[in-house]
Amino acid sequence: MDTQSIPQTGDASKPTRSAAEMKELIYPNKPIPYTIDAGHLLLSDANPLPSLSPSSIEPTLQSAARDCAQSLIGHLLQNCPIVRDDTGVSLTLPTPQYQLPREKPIPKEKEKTKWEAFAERKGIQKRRKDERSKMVWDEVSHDWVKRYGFGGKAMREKQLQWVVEVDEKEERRKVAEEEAEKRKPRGSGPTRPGKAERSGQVFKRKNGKKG
Amino acid sequence: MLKTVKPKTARSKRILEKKQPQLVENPKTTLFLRGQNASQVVQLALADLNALKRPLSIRFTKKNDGIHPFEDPSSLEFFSEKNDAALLVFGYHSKKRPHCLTFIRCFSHKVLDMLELYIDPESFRTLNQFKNEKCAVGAKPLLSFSGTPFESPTTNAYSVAKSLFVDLFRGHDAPSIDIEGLQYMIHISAEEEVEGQPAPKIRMRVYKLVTKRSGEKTPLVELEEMGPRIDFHVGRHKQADESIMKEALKRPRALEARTKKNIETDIVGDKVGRIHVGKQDLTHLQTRKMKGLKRDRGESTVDATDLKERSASPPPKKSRAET
Repeated sequence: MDTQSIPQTGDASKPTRSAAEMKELIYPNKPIPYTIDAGHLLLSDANPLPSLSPSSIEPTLQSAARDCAQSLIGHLLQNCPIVRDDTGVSLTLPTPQYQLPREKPIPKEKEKTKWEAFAERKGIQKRRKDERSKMVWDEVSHDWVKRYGFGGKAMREKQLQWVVEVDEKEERRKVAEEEAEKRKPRGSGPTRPGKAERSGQVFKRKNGKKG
Repeated sequence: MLKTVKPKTARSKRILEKKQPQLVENPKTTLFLRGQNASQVVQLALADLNALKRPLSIRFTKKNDGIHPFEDPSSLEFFSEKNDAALLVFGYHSKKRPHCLTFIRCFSHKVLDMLELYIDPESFRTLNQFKNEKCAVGAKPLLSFSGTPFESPTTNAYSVAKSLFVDLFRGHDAPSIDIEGLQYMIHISAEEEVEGQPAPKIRMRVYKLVTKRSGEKTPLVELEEMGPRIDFHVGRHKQADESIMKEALKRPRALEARTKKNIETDIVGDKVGRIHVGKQDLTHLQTRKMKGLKRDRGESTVDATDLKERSASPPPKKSRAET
């Protein structure tokens, strides 16, 4: 093995090319056209390499490689949709054609549990947990609160109502109840003594109507 | 064979899940290994291939004794499973197999195919011997294969080499690629096969792309050799078992694009959809209502003889209307 480093040949010494040469360089023409698989950025060149003598190996290979690179880049720029965005210009590649084996077999489909099979038959859909969680976001207090229950969102909203529409039905029912109460003859039902009476602050009439 | 462990923590569960077969697979990891005896050339080659492969690679630098890929691949299969690596490159050196690199591809941690390549120490040049700018780490290379041996219709060492090299260097399966990311090309070539002469060498060259304005739409591409430069003599190879290869090449049905029925694009480029409606039932079609067309209450059918009779006597409907 040769351990010396290889200097790079500069491009400055290259002569200027004519238009025809340039065209030839940009669109290399080969007896057997290249097959290109843009998905893998892969190019196959079925043309036989010219015979290589020890001194001509590197230039020959490099020119063959240059033609390949030129054709591949040209193909990519012409055939792949170009997307420009803030991050730069990118090419959308097609799906690869050259088949390569997978790393692992295709995962087997999991066998359905009894419930899953039943649910599918009945069209029952699973509800995700986050779809309806216990806690909800409260815009007013900027905090997570319980949906229902003490201090819950429902309760807060009820408290925040500063005007409530009269429920006519309910009102009518109440009025009717009161009137029914009035119409009732006194002492018909079992009566409880009033609070004052119970505490013994009121003197009972000593001789009632009985006497 | 590793014993199967039941995960105890969520973290280990996640790791094990990642190792399970996936519908959309992760890019293959490559493991670089060396044998008990590995020459300087082999070690440098392993280091350089690793540099091209990063970050999808693992490189082990300790000596591994008693690994003979073609005789007993069990330890390689163990390494593959342990490191979840589908590709292995094993380098060693012996008198019989000088400067040998064995490329191994696994399918579900079992050896699928293998290829042995002997580096030519005379023409070998490392990445660092080329004093120029290198490509970015993890960039996707352009790949090109020149020469007729790679196009052979039957499976031989060269077609295996092509498949292995594409698999080794392709990197991520990207749906889109930044133009800036097209930085280098790996060019692999082989000369014509000639009867009576040793099999042609596989020559690997890595070039950095330099694009220049050409005045045309496509830029002018020029190449600058970046290294490594490796010439391989072809050694033994093991072809994949046909049935296993068939299994490995299967495409999951879930990923196949469903053909959209009844949607077409016409010549102008407009999207045209076709809708199928059932045959219309014309018997119950509501037409304009007219008194004269009303059916009689009593009779269900009216035929010609009835009409004649009716012309003599006034129709019963009319009389009903008069009353």
